Parts: sequence; C-alpha cells; structure tokens
Amino acid sequence: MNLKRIKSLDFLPLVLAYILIIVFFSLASPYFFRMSNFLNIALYAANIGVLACTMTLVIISGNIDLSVGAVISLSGVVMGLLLQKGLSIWLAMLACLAVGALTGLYNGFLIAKLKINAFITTLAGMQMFRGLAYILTSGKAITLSDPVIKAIGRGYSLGIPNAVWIMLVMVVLFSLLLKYSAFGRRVLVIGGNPHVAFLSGINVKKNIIGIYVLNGLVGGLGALIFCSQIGSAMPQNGVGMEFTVISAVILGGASLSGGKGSIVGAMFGALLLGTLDNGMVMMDIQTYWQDVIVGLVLIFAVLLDVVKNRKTVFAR
Amino acid sequence: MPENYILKAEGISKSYPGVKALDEVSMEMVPGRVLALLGENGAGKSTLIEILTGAQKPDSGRIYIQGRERRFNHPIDAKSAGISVVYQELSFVPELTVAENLFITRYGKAHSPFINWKKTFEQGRRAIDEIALSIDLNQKMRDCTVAEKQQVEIARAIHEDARILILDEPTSALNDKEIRNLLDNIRSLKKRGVSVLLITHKLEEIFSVCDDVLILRDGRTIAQKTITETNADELVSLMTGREISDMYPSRQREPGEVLLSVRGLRSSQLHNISFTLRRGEILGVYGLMGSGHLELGMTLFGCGKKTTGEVLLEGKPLSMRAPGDLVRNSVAFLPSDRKLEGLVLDQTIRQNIFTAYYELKGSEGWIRQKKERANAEKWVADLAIKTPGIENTAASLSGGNQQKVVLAKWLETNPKLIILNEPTRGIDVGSKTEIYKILDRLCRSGVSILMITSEMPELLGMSDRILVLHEGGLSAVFEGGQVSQNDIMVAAIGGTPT
Repeated sequence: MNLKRIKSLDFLPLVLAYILIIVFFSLASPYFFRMSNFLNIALYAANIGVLACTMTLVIISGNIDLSVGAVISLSGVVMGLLLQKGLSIWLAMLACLAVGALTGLYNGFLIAKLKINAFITTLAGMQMFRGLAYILTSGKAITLSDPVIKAIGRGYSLGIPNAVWIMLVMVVLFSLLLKYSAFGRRVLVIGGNPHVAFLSGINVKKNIIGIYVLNGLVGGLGALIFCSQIGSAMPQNGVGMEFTVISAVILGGASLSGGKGSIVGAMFGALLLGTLDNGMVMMDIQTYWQDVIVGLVLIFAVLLDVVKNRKTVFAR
Repeated sequence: MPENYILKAEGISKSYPGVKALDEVSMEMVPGRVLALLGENGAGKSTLIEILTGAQKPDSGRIYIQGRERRFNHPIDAKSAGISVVYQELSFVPELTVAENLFITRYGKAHSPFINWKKTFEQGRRAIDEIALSIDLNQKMRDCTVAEKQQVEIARAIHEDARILILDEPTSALNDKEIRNLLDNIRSLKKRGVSVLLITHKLEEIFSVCDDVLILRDGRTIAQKTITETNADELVSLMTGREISDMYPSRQREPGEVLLSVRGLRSSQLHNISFTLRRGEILGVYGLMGSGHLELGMTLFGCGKKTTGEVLLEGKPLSMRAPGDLVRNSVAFLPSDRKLEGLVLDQTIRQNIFTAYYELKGSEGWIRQKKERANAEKWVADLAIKTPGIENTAASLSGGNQQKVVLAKWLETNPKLIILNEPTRGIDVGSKTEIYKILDRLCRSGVSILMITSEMPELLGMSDRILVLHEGGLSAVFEGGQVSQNDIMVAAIGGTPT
C-alpha cells in the first residue's frame, strides 16, 4: 500500500487520535502500557467491535438500528430460559442467534416493505424487545454456568481472548464482504442513492431486509458474548449498548447519510472507546466526567469529518 | 462610458488545484438588456456565476457595480449589491406556502419579531403582479410545478430589488408552453430595467430574448457580441472552437428482425399502445407534457403502473414488475435526471460503471477489482470520458461526461435494448454530437434504442422511425427523414397529419 492510499483512508485521523490517546494514558498512568491491560481493553471492545461490523452495513445503507442493545437482552434471555428447560447448549445458542435474526427480519420488513422510518421502527423495537425480555423472565436474572458459554466470552486461545478472535474473524469477514461481494456493492449503492439503486435493477427492499437480518443475527452473537462475560442472562443486558456501537461506527468514518463507511475503521472506533474507558478508570476520573469526555470525542471526530468534506467540496 | 454599465468585470481569474477554471474573463452588463452566457460544459460558466454571486472569491480581477468596485466575500454581499440568482436546483421550504417562501429571506429584517401576514400578502401580491405572474399565494410550495417555483424565485428576487438577475439554465426542465411564459417574464423584467444573465444551451432562446451574448471556452472570454451581429452557426463554432457541419451521424443503418414487440399495452396512463422495435433501430418517441411518453419509458422499464397487454422481447413475454426484471433481460434505461437517478455522485466512476452489472443473471457474486478497473478504463477511453482517472467521483465530471458514465454503466451489462429518456438534456453541443455518435455506433452493432426526447432537432436527426403520443395513446408513426417538425406537432396535439 503506497502513501497515497494510506492517506485516502477515511479512518486515518482516528488511528492517529488513537495513538495519541495511548501515548497520553501511558504517560499518565504507570499501569496502562502493559500487555495484560491491552488484552483487557480488547476484551472489553470485542463485543462492540463484533456488533459494529453489521451496524456499519446498516449505516452505510442509509439506515440505523437502535434496537441492538434490546436484541442482546431478548436473545440472551431466550437462551437462558431454554437452558433452564433442559435444552442442549448448542440448540440454545442456535435459538439465541435465531431470535436475533428474527428481530432483524421484523425491523427490516417494517422499514423496507411498510416504509416506516428506520429510526422510529428500531426505537419502537428497542422498547418492545426489552419489554418482552422482562415479561419472559419476570425481571429475574438467569445464571449461566455452562462451560461452552463461559469459553466464548471469557476463554483464551493462544493467549488471546476468544471474544477478540471472534471480533477479528468478523471484521475480516465483513470487510471482505463489503469490498468484494456484489452484496457489499449493493449496500454502498443503496446508501449512496436508493433511487439510482432501484433504477439499476437492484432489489432495494430485499437487500435492506437482508442487512437487518444480518444485523439481528450478529446481535444474537453479541448476546452470546455479553451473557458469557457477565455470567448471566437478564433483561437489563445491553442497556445503552446501541449508542456505543453507533459511536464506534461513526468514529470509524461512516456517514449517517449513507453511502460511506469502513468496518476496519469501526473496529478501531470500538478499540478507541474501550481504551478511553479503561484509561479514564485508571486515572480515577469520575464516571460522570467520563461520559462527558466520550461525548466530546464523538463530536470532535464528526467535526473532523465535516471539515475534511468541506475542504473537498471547495477544492472542486 | 462606465456609467452605462450596471456590471463590469475585468480580468477575472480563478484556479483550482490542477485546473485554471477562469483565465482573465471580462464581461459587461447593461440595464434592461439580456446577456446570454454561452459555453460548453466545463467552459467556466458555473465558476463565473459563483464569483458574481459571492459564492467564490476570484484569485484576481475586479468587479464594478455601477462604476464602483465591489468585493464579494459572501453571497449576502452580492445580494446587497443587487445581484440575485435562480439556480437549476431551486431552494424552497416545501411545506410552507408560496407567500411564506417569498419572504423567507426578509423575515430577519423585520422591525418586529412578529410577522404581519396581511402586509406580507399585500407585498407578495404586488411582487407577483409586477411581472405578471399567476400563482396562488396560499398554495403550498410542494404542490407547485417547476415553472411555478421558478416564477416564485424570480418574484422573490424582484421583491428584493435585484437589478441583476442570473438565470441558470431555467428552461431545461420546462415544457414548451412554460418556456414561452418564462421568456415573456424575462421580457417584462427587461422593461423594468433589470439586467438578466441567461445561461442556456438552447440557441433558439438566445435569439428570441437575448440582446447580447458572451461566449466562454476553456475559461477564457472568446467574444461578447450583440445578438444581431451573429448567427447560430457562428455561435456554435465560437463555443466549440470547431465547425460542426454534421451534428447527427448519417442515418444509413439497416435494422434487422424485430426485437421488441408491444401489443395493446394499457395502464391508467397508457391506452392501447402497439408498436415494434427492430434490432439496430432507433425509435424516437415524442409527446407533449402528459401525453404518456414518459410513462411509456417508465412502464417498459418496470417502474410504471399496473399494465395489461403483451410485451415480447425476442418473442418471449417480458416481465415488467421491477427494473431488476428488465436488467436481467438485457434492457437498459437512461433516466432523464442523471444526477438524481443515474449516478451515485460521490462514488467513483468505476463504482458507478459497475452498479447495474452485478444484477445480471450470469454475473459473479464476487467483485474482481482488476476486471472492474480494466473495464472502467476501457469505457473511459472508448467513450472519451474526460477525467484524470477512474477513481475520481462522478460529481467531479461535467454533465456530458456524467451522461457518458451512465451510458457506460449500461453498456457494461451488454444490453439488447436501451431506453433513453432525454439523453442529452442540459448537455453542451460538443458532447451531444459525441453521444449521438456513440448511439449510432451501438445501433450498427445491433443494439435497439427507444429514444424519448422533447428536443425536436434530436428527434428528427436521430430516429429511424418516430412514435408520437397524445393523451396516452399512439397518435401517429412516421418514418424518420421524411417527416417535418410541423407534422409531428400536429400529431402531438391530436390532429391528423395532412
């Protein structure tokens, strides 16, 4: 890769900012710059990184999904209940993924076929899915002790957390899908201009539904990782997670108006948010201030993008 | 002498990285006269307008308004100097009424934070009466036609005491009657002493309403002439820098067997239309607004209303539920609005060329970058698309070159039938002839073309046969080359040709 191509990467400023943050925390805290701490960060960021893969597709297609956190809650709870009923672990995990995919199908159908605004549809979905999770469990947590589940989120292979392996595989898989598959190209065209996509023969509705089903499916995978990491399935799982995922995707260079985004960038976005979190805890920064700082970082990143785009418009 | 000019610009230059957009351009405008700004796409017209309206700052040069030098740092400066512009893309708030939109820029200057609606309406009525417009002030903006929106924009400019009005290709989206109306509006503006700068590609408009003409080519002033001193041929050769003797390729094509046959096609907008289209034939379609000519194209490409009747491609029934069905059957569709319907503007030329290809039946589900690059390069060379490279965005191209990219996108699908909807709208003369040549070449290789156009010269110059529609039905079929403009018009308004 030559210098010009590196320069054209949308998430380049993010990587630079990331390096700056690492340098800063390393100077600020003696415990920060250690292999064990980096693995900690990666472990924390892994779930966000996994979810960000398909969220990037959703956002590139010009849509949004606010229901991810609630999908994590609902599919986890369904898995927990099935395990309680004595279902085998593999079938229960499959059910977890299936519930995720079903929520995606529901969202996608409403958005593509019934033309309900994606924000509204998934905002409603966010309420409903979590509501269902509360109804199913009467608000109680289900402890998960199965070794297979434990291994997903807390196990290590070759010295690296399994969750991080999962994230890496997903990032590679979806990056390839976006760049080298006809499906990926359709997502880009639909996000760039849905009308042009339709007039080019692309079945826009089918593809939008497909994107949401994928996002739901990956939500189910996120539920597996999440439940494993906290050791239980409960309706409160994943509260607010959709915002962290969307933030990671935006930090990674995606545009909310669609047509543009990077999955590798989104992974760096997730890592950056994880690092910030970790570093601020080490520096003993008050939780409330942590929220303010994360918000500022997001605004700063988007601002950078706006300034960059403005330059290119005027350079024409 | 300077007192006579309302606007005088001297030595205006502007460079962008790699391009000299304007090179020492000079121009003069006189009160009560209409100046036509003529030039091929990429000649620097847009940049010149941007400088005159304060959207861009020139690298060098001076602008005088009534003999006094002015510097525009912001569009507001140009507006306060009396320069208003009506762009092709009109800017309104669709949910507000005409009256509200008319005063949208003036709310801020009111002495009171409240709006006096009675007064607002009185003023609006006056602004509209002054140039003899007929619009309902209570109408919502989104219900207005393009022509009405333009009139509102002009009224807004007049209301704001514009002394110089710039109209950027105002007639490109209007029908014949609306064009006549607009030209009348321009004449009444002239009487009021307003200077008008009219950007247009249509020579007939220039000769009917303009007093002077300014010609730009490659960012330089080629000439500023009084209209009576010149003629169409001279203008075209000044604009392109070459003599255009044969705008249209010779029509000696030999169409083969029938490719498309349409029998009794009906929908809520089409009444019993039957015709055939042979291989290697250009079938022109003409109709006035509302005649169903646009719907015919949309319907055949699967974006129309529900239909009955029979449409056969190579003898087999053609499914027309969605564009995807047609693409898979080697039918292509070039929409009239390339920016909104043909291209994803901020994606690369290469990506745009490959937006329809993957919808073909036999196409791979995987993208091979090498093949994409090679084919994109091939189309850029074949169709003479002017660009530094295939990884530039479609937005960076001029109109004519954008249209060629849309063509390339469809040629990559190797179509048997191409439906064209206004193939050269808003494209300069030079690019038009190039596109005509490409179409001719395609026909000779056996591709069939259904060309829907409202440009009479193009219709007459290119078609092997011509269908004329009237009120959704087929009104007449003519052999190309043997028909006059008059015959076509008579058929279009529903008369029987003599």
